[in-house]
Amino acid sequence: MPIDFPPIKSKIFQASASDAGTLATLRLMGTADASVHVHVQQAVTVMREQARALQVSEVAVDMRELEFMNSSCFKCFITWLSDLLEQPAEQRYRIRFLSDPSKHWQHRSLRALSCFAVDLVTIEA
Amino acid sequence: MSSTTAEGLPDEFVQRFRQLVAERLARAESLWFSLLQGTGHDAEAAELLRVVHTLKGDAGVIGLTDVHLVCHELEELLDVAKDVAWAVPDDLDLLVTMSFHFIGLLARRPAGAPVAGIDLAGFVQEVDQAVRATRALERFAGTSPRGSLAAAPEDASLDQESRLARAATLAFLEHLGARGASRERLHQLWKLLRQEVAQSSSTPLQRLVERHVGATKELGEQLGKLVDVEVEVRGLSVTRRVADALDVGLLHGIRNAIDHGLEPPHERTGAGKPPRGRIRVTAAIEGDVVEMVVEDDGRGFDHAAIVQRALDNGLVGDTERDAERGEARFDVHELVFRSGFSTAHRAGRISGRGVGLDAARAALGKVGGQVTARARDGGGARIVMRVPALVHHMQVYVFEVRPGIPVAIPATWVVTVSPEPEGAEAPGVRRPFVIDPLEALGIAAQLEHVEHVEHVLMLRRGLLHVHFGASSLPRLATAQRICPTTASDPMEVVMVQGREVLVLRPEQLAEAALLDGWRSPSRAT
Repeated sequence: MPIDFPPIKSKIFQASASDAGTLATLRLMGTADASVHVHVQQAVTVMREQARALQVSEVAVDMRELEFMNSSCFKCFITWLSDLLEQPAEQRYRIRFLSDPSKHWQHRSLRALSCFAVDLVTIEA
Repeated sequence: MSSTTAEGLPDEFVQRFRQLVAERLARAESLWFSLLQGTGHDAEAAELLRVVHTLKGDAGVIGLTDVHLVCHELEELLDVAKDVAWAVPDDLDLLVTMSFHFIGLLARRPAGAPVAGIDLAGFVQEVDQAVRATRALERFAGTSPRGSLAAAPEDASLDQESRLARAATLAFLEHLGARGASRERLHQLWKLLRQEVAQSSSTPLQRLVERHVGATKELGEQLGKLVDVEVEVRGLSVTRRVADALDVGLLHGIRNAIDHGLEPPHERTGAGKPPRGRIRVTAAIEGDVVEMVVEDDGRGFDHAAIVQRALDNGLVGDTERDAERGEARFDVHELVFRSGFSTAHRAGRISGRGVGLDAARAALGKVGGQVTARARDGGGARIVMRVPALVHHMQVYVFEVRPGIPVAIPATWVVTVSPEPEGAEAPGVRRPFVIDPLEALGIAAQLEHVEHVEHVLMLRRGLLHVHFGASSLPRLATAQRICPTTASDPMEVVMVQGREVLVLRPEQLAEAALLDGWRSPSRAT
């Protein structure tokens, strides 16, 4: 069953998803500020549902083309991780963030986020 | 008879505590949101601090030390937020939100359950750094005449560390242009801020490793293996970038050791080994290189299985395959780093080593490091990571712009020198396309020395041409980056032969000059 993720496209923010075997990828691009919070929330919510439905072992979140994300949008990921941590061990999957080391906000925010679940979250720069 | 917590409290009591935590967290989040939106006032601020303090006290009574700890960190964050009138940086907002979630998670956890995967020590470190950096910026904002530059619009995309480095650099610049006692005070401020940057960007290896130890033991339990982890990295610190790369290497190295290296207890005793497996993580800094080793006393690499798996999955090319003719002459220890080797394994189809080691190699490679795998003497496996350590260097051209005032530009620029034509200019007057770097930075008017252009440096990179006036010839030197700023900053302070030198980024400086409308760089056509 292929991933069911309608692409999200606004003037400043885009999100798309794909899957291959036990790996799903969420790709975020553009700028995620307060004006697109609802889109970010939608992207994360749908990906959570799909990851569970497809029983993936890993979700890659590709932020390399994401220029900026404000804290209110980033909180969607905190909620995602919190929820994941409270799932039974067999329903958990790993989340691998692909980041751009030249974007400093990613470094700090993802590092803090990884404190939630060091065994589930990987950051690749 | 009702069960009790480890501290001897009845379950009912703990349940009531959890209910209160949920209610208080909901209220705290609501108050925090309204304060950040500007709709909350003093009463809301006071209530928020009170709610969190109550949570902390309750956690202490119940004996939930981890909840108590996070509440304490949250109080630190809220203190800073209050001091900056709730106009907090994005990363501080994130940490506060994370604190709420952490408290909820930890409070809901069944009594005695392990803190699986949660890195409280790392979180505390993040909070400490954010608090320290915000405090330092707050101090700087009250002292620098150029404080507004530290809050430029693009700051939204910078983390605290970068903003702090920018603030430190501005303090250094101000010191260059100052006279008398204020010059010394500004130099002291620069040194203080520089120390903050150094502390902020330094990560103790001990903490880095410890965050994996808890998860290691739990993973071992899940797999029915008994694991002892020995760590010998005390006292060593590395830069954040190096730490991040080692973090990925450690994650995969340790998981690999538990998952595939260490045998279950009955298998170990059958092989004459103690039932508990052993993983040892050590680190040392030799010269400019950090070496971190993860070794285990497990079954080691199954060479035949690895070769077969690589062949089956097409991870070796036809040439290699033909050359081998079925004989196990592959460098098995290199095969485990091939991309795809781990993916197949995670699906659980094949046993053997290799989970994520390709990711470890990629992460370490990005910071100039490398990772190798070998058999351990006495049985087991040994993963060795080597990364250039603490000091970042850059090549620069150093020249003086006033007697005794050296500046530098990155050696990525092509520099040619032409003498200032005789009689072309009177002292202090310059041809209009030649930039005086100190004037571009706004400190020329404060200096005792007027500019005396002996040479014109023609700087070229790509299509951009910039002309700088200089009073000495440039010389190539190796600079130590002591307070790295980002590529979008017009300057950075480095150390050249024991002396602090301002490195200019001509492309940024030229843009600033253009904005000021006083002198324009020429663009090649």
